[in-house]
Order: sequence, then structure tokens, then C-alpha cells
Amino acid sequence: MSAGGSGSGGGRGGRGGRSGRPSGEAFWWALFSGGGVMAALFVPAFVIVTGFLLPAGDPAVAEQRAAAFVQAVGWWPVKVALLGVIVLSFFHCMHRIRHTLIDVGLRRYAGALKLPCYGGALAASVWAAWVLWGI
Amino acid sequence: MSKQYHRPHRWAWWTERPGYARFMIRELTSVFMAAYLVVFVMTLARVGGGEAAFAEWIAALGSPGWMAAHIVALIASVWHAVTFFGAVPQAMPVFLGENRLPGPVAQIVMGYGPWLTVTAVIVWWVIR
Repeated sequence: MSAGGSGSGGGRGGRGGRSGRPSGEAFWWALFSGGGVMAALFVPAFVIVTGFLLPAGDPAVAEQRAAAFVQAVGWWPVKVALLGVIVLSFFHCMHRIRHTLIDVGLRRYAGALKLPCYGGALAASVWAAWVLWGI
Repeated sequence: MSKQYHRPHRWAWWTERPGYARFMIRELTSVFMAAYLVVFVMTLARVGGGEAAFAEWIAALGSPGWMAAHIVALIASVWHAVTFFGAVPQAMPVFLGENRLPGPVAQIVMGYGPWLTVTAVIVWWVIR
């Protein structure tokens, strides 16, 4: 997935600095690309279901759909899949948000931005795991 | 961070060319998807909270404000998927012997096809 072309130069590569020393960037890129696939495959369907199909006007229909949804997310293979999709998608989004912030002028804070961005994704992932565990 | 020289540019460099603006719009879809995913996990949390809590939450999602938010989230996530799978031939070129798999075929087989299948299965499960 080419997300470059922004004039950010070598900043989006897998290695940091001219020394060629690995900066951990490759690890975030692996999460990024996996998350890009997961988000593209699943998020539109999730939006259609929770945003439009579940809040159906007719109460009887809504009840039936809610039951189907609850049944699906209560099945453990679905939970595992959901956790994978959610975790990877969060890392994908936060990685892109971090690089967009760098591209609009926060290059100097590229390192400092890791904490709120990847930390936020990690916190959201732990939250999602906890929520799924409780269903 | 990098000691490389970076030519200074205005923070609004992405307004300079339509291609840059499209890039920035694509990047911004991730903000809306992240926000939606938070709402999605909140929805799952209500499932864990019991039938009444879930029904109440779903009823709230039917309000015009939430509908508008979901329309934005749908546009953002569909645009992410369309542009993501549209880039498959460039990102993952597939060769059959000497021949490169034609772009549109790669997009459908490795992108739009699986995407529409997954979407159809999920939607069918809920409305059947």
C-alpha cells in the first residue's frame, strides 16, 4: 500500500536516519499494512450494521436483528476475529494519523507523537479485548 | 529522528495540487474510521451490559445526529476501501509466469471481490 507521495522524503521508510539503524518503524509498518486490509474489508460492513441495520424503524425487525448481532458477537471465533480486526485497524488509523501530523509540520515531534498515537491504539486495543471478554 | 535534510514546506502544502488534496482526504478517512471503531467497541460493550442496555443504545443510534455521523463514517470507510483495493496492482503486483496479472483483474480478485463478499455475508447474517 503506497501511502507516500507526500513530500515526506525518507521519513516513511522502514529505517530511521542515515545510519540505517532500525528505528522500530518497520514493526509499525507491518501493523499498518495488516490493519489497512482489515479496515478496508470489514469497517464499511460494521458501519452498515451498527449505523443503519440495527437501529431499524420497526421495533420487531430491530429486535430480530439485535438478536442476530448478539448471537454472532457472542460466538468465540467471531470474538477472536473481531479483536484482530479492531486491534489492527486501530494501529492502522493511528499510524496514519501520526504520519499525517508529521506531514503537516510536526516532523520535529515525530518521536514524541509515538506515545499518544501508538499508546492510544494500544489502550483502545486493551479496552476492546476487555469488552469482548465480557460478552 | 532523521538527520536528513527536509525542504521546508507550508503546513497546507496539500492545497497546492489536486493530487496532494486527494492524498490528504484519503489520510483523513483514518480519523473517521478510528472514531467509528470507538463507537463500535462501545456498541459491543452494551452487548455485554445486557439486553436492556443494548436495546437502549441501539435506539439512541437511531437519532438523526448518530445517523449523520454514520453516513460520514460510511463514506470515509468506503473511500478507504475503494482507494486501498484500487492500489492493489501497484502495491502487490502478481506475475503469472512472465505476465503481470492485469490491474483490474488483480483489483477484483484480491480486493473488491473479497470486500463485497465479506460485506454481503455480514449484512446477510443480520437481516436474514
